[in-house]
Amino acid sequence: MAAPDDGADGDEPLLAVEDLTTVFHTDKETIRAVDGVSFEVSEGETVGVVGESGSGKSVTARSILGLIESPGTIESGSIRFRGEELTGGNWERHRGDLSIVFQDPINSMNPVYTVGNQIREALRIHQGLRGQAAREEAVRLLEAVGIPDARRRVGEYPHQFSGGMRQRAVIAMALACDPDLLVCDEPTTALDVTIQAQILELLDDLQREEDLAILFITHDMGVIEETADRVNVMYAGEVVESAPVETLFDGPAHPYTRGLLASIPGRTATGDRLPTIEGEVPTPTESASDCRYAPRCPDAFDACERVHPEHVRVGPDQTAACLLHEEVRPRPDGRGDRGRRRRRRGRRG
Amino acid sequence: MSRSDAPAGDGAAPDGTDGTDADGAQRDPLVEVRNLKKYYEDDGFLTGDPVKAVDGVSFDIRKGETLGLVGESGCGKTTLGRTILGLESATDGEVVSDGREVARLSGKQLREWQRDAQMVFQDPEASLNDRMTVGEIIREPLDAHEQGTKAERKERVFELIDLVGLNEEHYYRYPHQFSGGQRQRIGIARALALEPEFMVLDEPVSALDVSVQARVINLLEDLQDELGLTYLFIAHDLSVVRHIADRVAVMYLGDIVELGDTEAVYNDPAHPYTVSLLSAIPGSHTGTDRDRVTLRGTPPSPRDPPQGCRFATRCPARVRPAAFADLPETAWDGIDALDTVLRERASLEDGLTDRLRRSLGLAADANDIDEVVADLFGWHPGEQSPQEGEGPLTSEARAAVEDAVRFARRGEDEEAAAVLREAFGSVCNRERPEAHVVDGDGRTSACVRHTDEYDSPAAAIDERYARRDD
Repeated sequence: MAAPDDGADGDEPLLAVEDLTTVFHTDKETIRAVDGVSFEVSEGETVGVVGESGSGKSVTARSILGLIESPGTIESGSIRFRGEELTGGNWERHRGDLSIVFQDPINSMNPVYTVGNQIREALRIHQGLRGQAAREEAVRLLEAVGIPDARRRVGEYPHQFSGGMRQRAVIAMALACDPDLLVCDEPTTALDVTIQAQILELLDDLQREEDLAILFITHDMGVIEETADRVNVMYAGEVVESAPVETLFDGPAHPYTRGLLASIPGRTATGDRLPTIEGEVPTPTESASDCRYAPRCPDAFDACERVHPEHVRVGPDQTAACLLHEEVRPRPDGRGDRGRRRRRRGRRG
Repeated sequence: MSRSDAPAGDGAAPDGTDGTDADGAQRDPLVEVRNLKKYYEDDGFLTGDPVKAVDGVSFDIRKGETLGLVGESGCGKTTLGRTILGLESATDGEVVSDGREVARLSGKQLREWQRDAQMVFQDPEASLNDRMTVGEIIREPLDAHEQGTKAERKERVFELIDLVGLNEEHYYRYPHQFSGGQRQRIGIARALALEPEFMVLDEPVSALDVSVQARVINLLEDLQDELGLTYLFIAHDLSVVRHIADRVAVMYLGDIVELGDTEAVYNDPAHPYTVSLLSAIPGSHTGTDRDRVTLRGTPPSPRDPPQGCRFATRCPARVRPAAFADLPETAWDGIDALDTVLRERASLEDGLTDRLRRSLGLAADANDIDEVVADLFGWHPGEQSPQEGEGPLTSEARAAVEDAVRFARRGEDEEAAAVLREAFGSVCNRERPEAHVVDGDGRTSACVRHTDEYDSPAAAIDERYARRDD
C-alpha cells in the first residue's frame, strides 16, 4: 500500500482506511475477507471499489460502517473519519455522518411501516425533527430523489413502490441522516439498465447539490467508469490496483485488471472469442506470503509465488501491487517518493 | 458462430466470420412464432384484467442462429421463451417447428419436441437438485426418455461431462461442491443430453462474475459450432447479447418492438425504445455515440398496458398533437409527469384509511393534486387564475390540465388521466403501431414514425434535445 499521509498537516481526508483487515472465524479456519486494504475518500469525491464476488468489497463497506458482526471481526488497521478513529466502537458518534445504500432495496425497508414513517424516524434520530417539520422534510427528500407525487406516496408502503422507486426511497432514507459520506454497495445491481441510468444520474445530482462524498462498490466495470473519480480494484481481500478512473481504463497496470477488462463482452470485437481468466478467486485463509493472483496470472514468474507484492507507483497517480512493476519504483538516489498525491479532481460534467 | 447473413461486399461487418457454412443463403426458419399470446388470469372469483405477459408477437428463429432477446424485467421475455418450448400453454397464436404445432402436440410427438428443444435456466443454484450427484442430474433426461441401455447412458454422461469442460471425477460429486460457473456447465450438459437442436438460454450468465461469464459464453459458442445448435438467448445484459447474438429482438411490455441484425441494431437503433435502452448502457465502450436518453419512470403494468403504442407513456419521440406544437419541452415534461402520477394513482389500490375517509365523505387529500400541478407547472389551480405567460403552459394547455385536475380532486384518477390524454394524446396513444421494415436486411421496428408522415424516431429525439438545450 502506498504510504498514507501522517495527517499532521491538517489535510486529513474525509475518510482514511489504512491497512484494514477484517476476518471471519469458522470452526475450520479464519477467512481473511479483507486483508490489508488502504484507501482514502476526500470530500465531494466518488471513490469506486470494484471486484468480483469474494473479493471482499462488500465486507470493506460493512467494516467502514461498523456493521461487522460475529463471527466476523476487524482484526487490525484503522478507519478514520475526519481524522477520528472509528474502530473500537466509535461509530455511534458518527452514526449519521456515514450512511449506506444496499443492493436490495426491499430488504432495506420495513414492510409494515409506510415509507414516510421510516424516513421520519431517521429524521427524528439524526436531525431531531418531529411532527410537521419531519413530515415536510420527508416529502422534500422524496422529491429530491425524484419520486413524483411525493406528498401522496410518502404515506404508502414499500411494496407499493416499484424497484427503482424503492431504491430512490432508500436513498432518501440514507439522506435523512444528512450524511457526509454515502456508501453505495451495488446500489443498481438489482435494477434494469434504464432504471440504473436514472439512479446513477440521481446520485450524480445529489453529490453536486449536497457535496456528498460517495464510496461506490460494484462488480460492474461500466458502472464504475461512469460514477467514480478514482478506482480501487480488489482481488481476494486486497486492493491490487488504484488509479484515477480514466487512467485505469486507458492503461490498466495490474494483470488482473487487464484480464477483468478484457473479459467484458463489448470491449472485444464481436465474433472473437472472449479472453478469459482461468481458475477461481481463492478464499484467503493465511496472510499473504505470495501474490494471490499468481496461479491465474498469465504473466506470473517464479518470484510471484514467494514474494507478496507491495503497491508500487506505476504512474503519476496510479499504484499496482505487482512484481512486474518493481523496476519502475522511484530510485533511492532520486527525489524518491514525493509523498502521496491527493489532488482533488474536478468533478465531471 | 457464423454470420453468413451479413451483407457481403461492403466489408463493414466487423465481426469474424468463421465461414463454416458461408453459403450466403438466408437460413430456413427452425421455429416460427405467429401472433403468440400468453395471458395469466387470476384465480378466484373477483378476477381483474389478465396479465398480458406476451401479447401477440411474430418472428422466426432461423436454423443455426443465435437470436438474442432483450428487454427490461417484466417485459415478458422469459414467458416468451417458456411458451415457445411449450412449458407454458399459449393463450393464442402458434409456434410451429418442422411442421409441428407445438401447442397442439401430445403423446409421442410432444416427447419428441421436448427432446429437440431444451432450456438452460438462469439460476444455477436453484435449477439443480442438491440431493442428486452430477452424474444423476445429467443422466435424468436420458432415463426419462429411455435412451439406450444403462451402460450406454452412463457412457453418454461422461461424454457430456467432457464436452462442457468438467472432469470425469465430477460425476460422483454433488452440486453444492461446485462454483456458479461449473454449475451452469452442469445445467448445460443436462440440456444437451438428448441432443437437442434448439435451446432456450434464459439469462444463462447473469448470475456469474465477468471472468466466469466469459468462459461460459465461449463454451456456448463452441457447442453451437460443434453441434449446429440454434439458440434463443434471453438476457438483460445488452453487451453480452451484442457479443453472442446474430440477430436481436427487443421486447417491451409483451411486444417485440424491434428485430434485426445485431450489429445493425446496436449501431443504428431504429425504435425509440431501442435508442433509449442502448444509450443507458453504462461505460464508454458501448458503441453508441448518442447522448444518453434517460427514460422517465418504469414500464406500466402488463395488467393494464397503455392503449395504442405500449411505449407511448415513456417514449422520447412520441408524436404530439399539432395543436400544442409550440409548447416548450418543460411543459411536456410536466404533462408527461402528471400523466404518470394520474396513472399510478388510478392503478394503486386504496389503503383502508383512504376508503374509510371517502366513505365518511372526507376526500382523501383532495387538494394534493393541486400541489402536484403547482410543482410541475408553477401555478396552483386551486388558488388563483394565473397571469398570461406565467409558467410553461399556454392558456389552452392550462385549460386542458384544469379539466383533468377537476376529476382528480374528486378522486376520479382514471377519468382524469383519460381527459389529459384526450387533450395531449396523439396517434401513438390510440393505435398500436405495426412493424415496418426499416433496412435492406429485413429489420423491423414497430413505430408509427417509420411512415412518411413523420420524422424518424432518431431525428425527433435529436430535435427535442436540441430544443431543450436552446
